[in-house]
Amino acid sequence: MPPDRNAPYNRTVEVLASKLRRRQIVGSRTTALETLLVLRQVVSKARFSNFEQLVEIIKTVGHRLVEAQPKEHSVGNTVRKVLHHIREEYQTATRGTSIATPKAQFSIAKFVLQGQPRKQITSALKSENRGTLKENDPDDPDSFARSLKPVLMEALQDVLDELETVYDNVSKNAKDHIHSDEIILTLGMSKTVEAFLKTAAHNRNYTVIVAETAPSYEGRQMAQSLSSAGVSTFLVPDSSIFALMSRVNKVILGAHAILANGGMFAITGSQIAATAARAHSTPVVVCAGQFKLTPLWNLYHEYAALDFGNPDEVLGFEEGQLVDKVDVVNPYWDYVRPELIDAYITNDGDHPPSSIYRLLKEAYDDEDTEL
Amino acid sequence: MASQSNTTKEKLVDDEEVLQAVILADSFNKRFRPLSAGKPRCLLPICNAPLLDWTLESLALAGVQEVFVICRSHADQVKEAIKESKWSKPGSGMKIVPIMTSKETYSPGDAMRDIYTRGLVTSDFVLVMGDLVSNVRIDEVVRLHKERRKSNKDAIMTIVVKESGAEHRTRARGESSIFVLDSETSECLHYEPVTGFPSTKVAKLPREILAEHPEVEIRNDLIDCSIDICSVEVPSLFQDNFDYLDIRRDFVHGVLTSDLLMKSIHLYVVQEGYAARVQDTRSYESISKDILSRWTFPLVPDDNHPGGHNYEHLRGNRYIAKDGSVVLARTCKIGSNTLIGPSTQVSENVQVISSVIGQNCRIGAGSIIDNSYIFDNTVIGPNCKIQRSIIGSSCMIKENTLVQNGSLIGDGVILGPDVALSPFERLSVKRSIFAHTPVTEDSDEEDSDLEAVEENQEQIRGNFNLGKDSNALVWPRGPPDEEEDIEDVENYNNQRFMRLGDDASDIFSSDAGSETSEEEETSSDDETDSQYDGRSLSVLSDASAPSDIPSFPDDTEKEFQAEVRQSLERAFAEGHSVDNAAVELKTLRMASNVSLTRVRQAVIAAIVEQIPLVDSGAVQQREKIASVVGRWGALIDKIGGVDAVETVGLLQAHCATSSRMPLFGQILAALYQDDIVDEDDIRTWHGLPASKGEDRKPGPETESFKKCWLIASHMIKQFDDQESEEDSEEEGESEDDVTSKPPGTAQQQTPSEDEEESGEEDGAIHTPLQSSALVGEKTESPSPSPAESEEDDEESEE
Amino acid sequence: MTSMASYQPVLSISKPENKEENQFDIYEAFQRILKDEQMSPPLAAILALTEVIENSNAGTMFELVNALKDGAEILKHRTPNPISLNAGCELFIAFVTLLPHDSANFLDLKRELIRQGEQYAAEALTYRQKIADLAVGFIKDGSVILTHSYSRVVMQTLLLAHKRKRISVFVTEARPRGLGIKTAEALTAAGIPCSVILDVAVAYVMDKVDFVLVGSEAVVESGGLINAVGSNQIAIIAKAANKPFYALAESYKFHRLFPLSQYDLPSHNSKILAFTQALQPDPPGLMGQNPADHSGSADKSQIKMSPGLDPHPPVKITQEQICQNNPNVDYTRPDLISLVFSDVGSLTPEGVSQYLVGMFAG
Repeated sequence: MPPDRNAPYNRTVEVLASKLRRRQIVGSRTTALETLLVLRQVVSKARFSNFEQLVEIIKTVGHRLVEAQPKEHSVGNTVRKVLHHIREEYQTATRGTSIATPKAQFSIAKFVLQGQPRKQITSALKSENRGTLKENDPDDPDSFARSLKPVLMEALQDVLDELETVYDNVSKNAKDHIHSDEIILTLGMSKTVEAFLKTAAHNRNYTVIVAETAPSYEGRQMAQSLSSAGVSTFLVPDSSIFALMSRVNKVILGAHAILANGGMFAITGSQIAATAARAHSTPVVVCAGQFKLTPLWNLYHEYAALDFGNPDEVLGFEEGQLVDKVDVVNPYWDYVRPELIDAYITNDGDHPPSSIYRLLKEAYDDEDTEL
Repeated sequence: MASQSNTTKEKLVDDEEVLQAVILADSFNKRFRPLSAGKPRCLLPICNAPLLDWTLESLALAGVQEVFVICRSHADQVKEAIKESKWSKPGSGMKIVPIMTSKETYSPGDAMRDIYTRGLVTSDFVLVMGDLVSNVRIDEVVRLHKERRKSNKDAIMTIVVKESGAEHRTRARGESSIFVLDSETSECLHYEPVTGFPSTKVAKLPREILAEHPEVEIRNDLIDCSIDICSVEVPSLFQDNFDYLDIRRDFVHGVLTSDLLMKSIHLYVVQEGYAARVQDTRSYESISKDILSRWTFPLVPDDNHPGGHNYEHLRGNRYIAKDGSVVLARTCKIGSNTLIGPSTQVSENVQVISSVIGQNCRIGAGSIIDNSYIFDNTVIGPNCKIQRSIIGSSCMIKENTLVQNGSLIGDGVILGPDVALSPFERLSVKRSIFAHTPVTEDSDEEDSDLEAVEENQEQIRGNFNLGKDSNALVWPRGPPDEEEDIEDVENYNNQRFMRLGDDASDIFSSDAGSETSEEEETSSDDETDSQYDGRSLSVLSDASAPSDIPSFPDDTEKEFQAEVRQSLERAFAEGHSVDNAAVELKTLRMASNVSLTRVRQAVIAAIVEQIPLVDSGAVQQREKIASVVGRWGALIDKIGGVDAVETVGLLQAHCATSSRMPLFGQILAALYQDDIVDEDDIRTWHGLPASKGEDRKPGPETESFKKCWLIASHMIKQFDDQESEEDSEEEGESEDDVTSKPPGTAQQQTPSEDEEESGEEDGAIHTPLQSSALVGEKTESPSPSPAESEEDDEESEE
Repeated sequence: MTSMASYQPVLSISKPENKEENQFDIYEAFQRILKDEQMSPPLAAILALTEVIENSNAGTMFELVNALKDGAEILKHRTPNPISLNAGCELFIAFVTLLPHDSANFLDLKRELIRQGEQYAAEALTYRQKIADLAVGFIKDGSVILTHSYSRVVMQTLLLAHKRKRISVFVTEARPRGLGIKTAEALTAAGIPCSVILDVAVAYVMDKVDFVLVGSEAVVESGGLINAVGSNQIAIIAKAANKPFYALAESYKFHRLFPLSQYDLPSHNSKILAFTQALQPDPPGLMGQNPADHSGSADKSQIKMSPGLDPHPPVKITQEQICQNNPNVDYTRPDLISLVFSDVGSLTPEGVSQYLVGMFAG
């Protein structure tokens, strides 16, 4: 941490960190985008003379941002994703020039690590590569950075593109998931789900039941948005979810974060909906961008991982006498177990909960799990 | 953003407007003594972060970019704290400028004048106290304020208040307020401070408010969070009115009652969000609890702790420092709503219930910490019991010590072993121990306070044992021997409402009875006696004032009367114009903060006294009267309101007690001649029971009252006669006989007006404000009665 | 479980088979290495195999691999519960086979292989710490943990957790060897509140428990777990009570095995679960004529019959007999396991199976 206290990008990082801390930026995608923009500045302004330094810089920045708001998982995910892409770019850039025999590094431990699912199995062999890009050039310490930066910016642009097209990509197959005359149940106000349902509405004629989603009542917004898009919409109280479930063909939910075991954090009420769906054997489908993949295992009992909002939404502060005597809690997220979810529809294909683990291993590098 | 990090000198001339805030970091009172003896109150920790940091974080949340922190006592410490804090690091997004104000700044008013003199603020700014905890989107309020300013230049201030219900733990019982606001424009129409003791039961609002606004809300359920969006004029108003001390009681009240300033103040009732001030130890407790129950979200320990600590939020709102430095013994019980700071050790069998424990504390085995607040580095020995108290930092409470309800223990105190403190005990260390703190050059009042405690220690302490190693001084208990000023909010009994752990139930019970009996006759049927304790209030309109005119002279009143008299004497002697004299009177009135009635009374008294008594005959006397009244009578109506009925009443009251009693009839006639009062006014007054002196005790004055009434009866008779036959000539001659004439039919005069008057009294005036009934209740003003509309007409004529 | 103690009682039973032509006895080497308290069977097997290389005079890779395979075979036959050491052998042999060798000198290659084996064994000793660090994150303050029998990696994890968190532990007695008592003693000595429960009381205690934490003998390709007998039933009860079931396994215990049932385990043999031959009540007349039949069978010799004339003599079953009749390890299906913590990360059972495929598919 100390080396970059006075770095030129420090202010930007600090600004984002305090915004995150103060919850002036909320929502997975927004935070992911903001994080990415900050990282882009960092990469473009940072001074480094070899690859490790660059990775260290990004990790440090990532650490500060994650620390600022550990409950907004997409911050960490974006940092991990960027690191992964940067490593890949670096390896492509150095490949060919540096097939210096890696055998000396080969060992049983490495052999064991081959079991790690990765996109390129060979990457284990290359991780120690050093070199030909004139790293640590004593005469011109910036030469490495200079030659690598354009590639890195491209890599960042890729991540950015992915984020920007995430809604389109998630919903591109919407019509395959929703059939005519189906009844869909959803809740909350997930932008992804909204886009998904609206896209499906172009081709299909179906009905959506939206649960109000107390105490934030985001479901009302969702219902409004859908009905104005011409989808036939019902708004129902949360308490009727179970009763209505027998008529529902599919439950479509949004996610806040998808965890490594295939479970997810989603807005309060999702667990009710998922459990009710299970009781009626109704399929539960989750729409989410891959930037929500989080290399975290829900620690079944990890209470603190759930965000607790302002009790004001549940019980008005003006209820003076109650406030004194009743503890009001307003958990913002539910943890939904992987067993209750049938499929994740992501911007890169549809996956069962059990393969989330593999997706994660492919998307991020293990060494970045802890930022 | 980067451009703002320039030096303080060149003031932000950026195109985009910078949102400025001013924090008054001094409390200007002593409610936290002795905790605040060695350090400023704004640096006292609440939930393990200094109050000032909470305030700054609240402002940062609202997008404030530049903050001036006005500090007075222990200014160096405040300055140092700001320098050390995260705020002075680049990228914090806020520029903080500590301003040291002089020791002579004794009130918020002085501080505002200081702001003016230094020219700190350049645009609309946010004014807060250094003890604010809030998550309100103040920027939203600022936007509204600025918008309003565009159409109405006189809207100088927007007060942010939080809806809470009348009985709320976070609402100060000792010091709250009634706001009267226009439901539509949310303009603040009237402000009335409410104290717990002497308990405020009656709030008076000017009748004009009801006349001018079709719909008003009278609200007693608002937490005044002291967040004010002020225009640049506000400091200058303070400068102009050097006697404004308190922002609410003097400034707001002054501006609203002033007829000169023509400024308006608006309210912003926060629906979403939290805002409250740590103004006393009681609110310290309730705000701590609010923070722990997350009402202040996102300003909560596990999310955005202003002190920069990381806490883990566990089931039941338990917050434990996240860095793993906390040592909790296996058998200790940590109750819900608890915060435990980093590096703290809790031993076996300890119970911690709804408490906050600072950093680096040690709690000995078997101790019970119940609803208490323990600051950093304090050691509590084994088997102690701490109940509803605040323990300062670096204290040492030795084994088997009992600290009871409401005790405050200052920094560095060593107490025990085996001591049982009585409730509400206050302890601190000796002054010599404070000496090392870089306090100050000249010994300010704080020091002298401590000195007094030290000097009288033997006497205060008596034979009370604080343990063999104790270094503590006991602060005086109970009410001070001579209560300086019962009206002051800082009086002892009222302070009790602000004290941690004190439910002040004895105060209620002691005076609730008398109150009930007094109010019963006027109270409407929906109130029951059991509910009717000191917490309820009535709102009275000034219209009922005549009945209690003579009943008040106290010190300030006398002073005011004297000043008015002097002022008028000067005016009479130097022959000022009526307008000039009126301006002078208005200024006087605002300075002394008295009601219009008092001014009118003083003016009438002065005018009556101005009339020389002439022995030579009725005609000369009448001429004198006519000349005086003709010259000065207009003043009566120029002081800021017209109420002719009251004028007659006051005249009567004055004449009845004065040597000019015989002149009453003539003066009244002269006033009538000059159109200061007209026939209907006299009739109305005449119909009032008070004008006959009915509710007075028998005595010479009452006799005089009756005589005056009789004189007037005669006049009225004349009016009646006039109506039938035009003989205005006679009026003067018959004067002397008037006194002997019997009342005759006068009592049956104008029965219809009688009814109207009393109707008004019952309906609009006595609105019993029961706490529960009041919440959010809108009081529709009654449609103006005929009498009122007449008055309105008069006003427009004037 | 994996402790070397588990092999001692059965040593005397298995008979030495001296098939080995050369002097080197891999089994002895294995036993010698295993004497180190920290060493676990898979690592001991790897080290024993490096000694095979050292002592082998193979001149080609093919010969060398064959020698290794033979060695592994011997180890497997001579130890009664070869599952975990199999995992080690398998790993090492796969490594040797797949190692890209362009070394000109075969002797150099052999030396390199030996060095690699030793280096790995040394490195692998740190894995328990790595796993403990990983698993501690899943243990919250105030947890009540159920563990089974004795496992070094579980012990290390619990002791680490104890430094930061207030945990309490239930441990099963783990009959017949009663290793749970060893666990309880060690934990109590470290100051962790601990209680030994009967194996049959697991269902009774499950509601009080936050999660189950067990060690492992091996983790197999299905993602399932092989561990001291009793683990399976604990997992089933945990599943029924909706409690997480965590297993701790070093990566050298990943084993390419796909058991479909309990009886597919290599440790299964005919003695296990054999029914006690109920003695036919002999006709009274024959009673005295064939006493030799009774003493001839080792099994029957332990059933003591009263010499009296009672036609239904009381049958006595001894503890040893029960021991022999019962398995040492059982297999826990992957769907009962919440997570496997290993030095390569925390894995779902599916993850383990993918991992194994990735590892051995090269």
